[in-house]
Amino acid sequence: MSRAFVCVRIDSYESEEHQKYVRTFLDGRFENSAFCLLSPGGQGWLSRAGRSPEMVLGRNVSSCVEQMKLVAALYPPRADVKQTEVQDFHSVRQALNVAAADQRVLVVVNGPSDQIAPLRRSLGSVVSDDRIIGRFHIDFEKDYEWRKTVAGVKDGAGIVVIRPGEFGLDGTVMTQLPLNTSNADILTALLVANTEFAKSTAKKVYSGHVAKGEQLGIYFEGAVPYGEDRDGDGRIDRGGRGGFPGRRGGRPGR
Amino acid sequence: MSKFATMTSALCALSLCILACGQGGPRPSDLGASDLDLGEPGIAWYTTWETGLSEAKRSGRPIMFVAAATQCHGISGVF
Repeated sequence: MSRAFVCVRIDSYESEEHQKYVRTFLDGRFENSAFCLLSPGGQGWLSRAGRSPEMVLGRNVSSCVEQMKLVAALYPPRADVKQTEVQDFHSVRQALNVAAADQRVLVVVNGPSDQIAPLRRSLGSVVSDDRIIGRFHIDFEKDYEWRKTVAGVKDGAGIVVIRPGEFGLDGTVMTQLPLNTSNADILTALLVANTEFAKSTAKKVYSGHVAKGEQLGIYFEGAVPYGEDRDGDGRIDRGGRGGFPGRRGGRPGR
Repeated sequence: MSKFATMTSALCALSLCILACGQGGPRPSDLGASDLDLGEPGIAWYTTWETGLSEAKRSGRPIMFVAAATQCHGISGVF
């Protein structure tokens, strides 16, 4: 049913711009999560906004799904949803982290802008394939600096299929294809990678992951200070109901 | 897995995860694993506003907008 929607998920702490989006949807407040339904033009509200689907659409997941079905029925697709726009990230750093969090294989299409631009269109049918959709994350990147965080990348432009590290801070190449690989061969390689990844990766348990990260001293620096501005005064709250205090360069308080 | 079950599973995981590190949901220590098995289809996310909006305008489909943190207390690799 989610295929009836274009599902957009941004990271609240990735940039000042993202924080502005959240404040727009939450009446000036900044909280680390937000949810709402919007019209295809992105301007019209189809629901109120809140922190989660249940807070906006209903008391439980089933009622949320029913409400979303009603909204989706008002907007049947006007174009082929098997030739979609391909997702992208603002950085490989962010892509690795998100792929790790979702436990999906990451595909980085890497090369000069003029060489990777055609793949933004041609890969639409690959990522919309029923055997591929919702199983991968895709990033287009013209820079090569990110390669120092991923083991096994070959020189030159290419389609790099990556197993994200446990904490999304690094990764390992599963396979690498030339940019001119046919869609059929890309699809085959992705199916193999997905099967291999699923067979050889333990499902992440949230509580255990966070505890292990604390033991290892893992810390992912956000582009903006962590924390929330629940009173909407434009500043991250310190202590009290504002969640953990935001600060740069150190572990947030508990 | 049916499309309805996939959506229910994905929404359930989404709800728990986007609330986990805030004060409106369960504590991280109370959360387990996602219902979705690895390699199975989940939500097809657009991870920039620009690409998502472009696809919504192209296809005429409505937008499900979510903002969430890709870390919990600074620990990455988790929603």
